[in-house]
Amino acid sequence: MSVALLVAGMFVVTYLPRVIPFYALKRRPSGRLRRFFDALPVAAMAALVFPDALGAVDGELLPAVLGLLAAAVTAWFVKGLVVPLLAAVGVVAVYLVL
Amino acid sequence: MSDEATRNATFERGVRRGLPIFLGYFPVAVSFGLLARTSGLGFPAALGFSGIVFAGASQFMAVLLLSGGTAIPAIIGATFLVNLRHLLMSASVAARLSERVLTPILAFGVTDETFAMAATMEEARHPRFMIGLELAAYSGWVSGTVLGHLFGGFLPPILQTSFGFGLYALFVILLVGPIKRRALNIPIAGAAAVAHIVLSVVDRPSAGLRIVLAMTVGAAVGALLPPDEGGQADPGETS
Repeated sequence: MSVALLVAGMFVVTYLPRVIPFYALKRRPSGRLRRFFDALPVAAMAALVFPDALGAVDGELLPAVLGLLAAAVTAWFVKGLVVPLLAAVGVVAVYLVL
Repeated sequence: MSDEATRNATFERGVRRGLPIFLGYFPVAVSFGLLARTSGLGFPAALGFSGIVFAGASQFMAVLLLSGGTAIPAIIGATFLVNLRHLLMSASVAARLSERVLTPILAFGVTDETFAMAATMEEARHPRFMIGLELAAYSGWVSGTVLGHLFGGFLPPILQTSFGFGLYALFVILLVGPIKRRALNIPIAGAAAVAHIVLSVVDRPSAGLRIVLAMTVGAAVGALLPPDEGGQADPGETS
């Protein structure tokens, strides 16, 4: 069945990039390469949010900006993930209701 | 890794810390399950996409392309490009792991969200904690798909959209800790964001490569800056 083939193919091209680095990188990197990998999470998160988040609330910019701000401000003052997350979700939900 | 972090790095705590990812994944997975069904895909197919591929953006794309009549090899090629960013993410996770065990399983669960959360938690250096985190994410994704396919869009659209947005909020929240701790993370984040915005505006290269390029630009800025001496800020430290 062709969908089975599709799933199998997608699995291979998705899993290989996920697993190969674990075997390719034997030692902890050092120097500039180490700094590259240390910086990668922050860079990745920023790239994942911008610009895609801005269109994530049915394409409307304002609730997306408000939601991101709510998340950032709440997270600045409150530790943990759930409270800031609910703040952001709440802001967006309230906007959509109104 | 401190002794306290090691003691706390249990599988169970990993699963519990994965709750925000579960909350974000579940509604998005419900949409996926529903989309799969309305596109004519059976339950095994939907389950296969979510349970075997486990890569949200590419799953949505694949179902839409399939409905549009795109050939299977082309969809597989597009999937490869869209998911290529996991290569860098896995390299980052691998570089931080305290030991290489359960690698095939651990590697399977590397997603944007599990990678991002792991990067800010000392405990995630420990494989069993990381796998716990990934299991929480995976459960949310698969259970949402199942319920979405079986029962359709039972979540009110407003909740669906706002919780789906939560995944982006999650990244912002995870950025606050590192930025508070070290101001130099601002140019790194800024460079990546600007790069991605510019590439998206000019619409080149393809979507999957754009994010890889943007991440690389940001990380390259980080490589040029002085090393990060401080420890990892854990945003969930007291929770």
